Amino acid sequence: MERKPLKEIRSADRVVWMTQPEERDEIVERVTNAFNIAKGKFLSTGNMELLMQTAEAFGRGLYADYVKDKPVNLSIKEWLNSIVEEVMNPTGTGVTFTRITDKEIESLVFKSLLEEETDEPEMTSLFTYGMLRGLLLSAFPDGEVIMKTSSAHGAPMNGFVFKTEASDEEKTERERVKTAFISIMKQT
Amino acid sequence: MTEAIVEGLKDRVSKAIKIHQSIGVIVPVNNYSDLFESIMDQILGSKDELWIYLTVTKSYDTIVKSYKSIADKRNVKFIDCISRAAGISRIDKNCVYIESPVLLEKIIIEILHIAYDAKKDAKKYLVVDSLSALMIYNNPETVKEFFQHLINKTRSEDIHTVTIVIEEELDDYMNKIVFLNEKIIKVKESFI
Repeated sequence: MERKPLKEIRSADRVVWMTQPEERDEIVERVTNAFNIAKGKFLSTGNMELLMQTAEAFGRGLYADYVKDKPVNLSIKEWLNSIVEEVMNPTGTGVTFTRITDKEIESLVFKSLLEEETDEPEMTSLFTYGMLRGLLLSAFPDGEVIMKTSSAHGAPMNGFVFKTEASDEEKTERERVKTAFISIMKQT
Repeated sequence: MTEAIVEGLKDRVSKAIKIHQSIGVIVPVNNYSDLFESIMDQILGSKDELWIYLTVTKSYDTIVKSYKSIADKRNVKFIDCISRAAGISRIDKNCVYIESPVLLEKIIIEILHIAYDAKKDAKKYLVVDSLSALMIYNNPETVKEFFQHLINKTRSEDIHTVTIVIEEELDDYMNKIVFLNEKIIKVKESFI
């Protein structure tokens, strides 16, 4: 049977794709545990870098454990299908993908169990960014995740762009995100 | 600071919606959650008015997790346009689930159904959250037609509407649509 991790939604010339979240307890628990470890490291040291590193390592671990099909020349569309099926849907993450090309994917996260359960948008947003970065870089080492909007900044949805190859400016995105979150955490 | 922003927004929006039939609130992306909180505060404090909350941005269960008591309020009804499309099959007494955010006619029908069931003398309010999110899923021309139709219908049924628009996503098209409202509120930190 053909895998359908994403649902296509069309209106005239507009087309987007949505995840089909269906939680699997063991992966939800794994994400929650990893988040608590990352949060604990941050709270005990005040070091945001540790939170990000933990989240990224966790993303890489998820990729190694759950994404079964790992061809050498994986396309970003194949990567996306695997991530949605093996990580996003089982973790109950609702995402709308507004653009999928051969080089990049734009997404808006409208539902995140982690965010709903913890009510800590600052830490969950940053953890999610790190986890997604780990998942992307496992397949595309020269890629980058750009955080366009964040609920921690008051936005309605977390918006991410996944790129297979980052420009020089985009390679500084991780530092930009970290600095932005350090500033938010000082205010809260 | 955030509390002051939320209170300021609540005051502005609640006054405007009582006077005008339809208001458009243009909000910077980073102040969306303040606006959302101010509207939720207002809804939670309501008793005899009917509030219809059309959500395209967050799923109903996400909202209920943040505002648990809203699920028990009999004067508040939600229309959730994204849960079913994402394969979430919940049933809730306070929420009507639309199969897909592209079913715009169905949305209007459901709004009118809910309004017809309300007490005759009850004041009726509709929140559209948000026009920007509807644009993610629909062709702009279709959204324009939908919105014109919605404004006409809600006006004839005396339903006051609040439509949220994200400032950064405003383009010429959305500008034309949002200016169909009687009153526009532009949220700026300086106005609060």
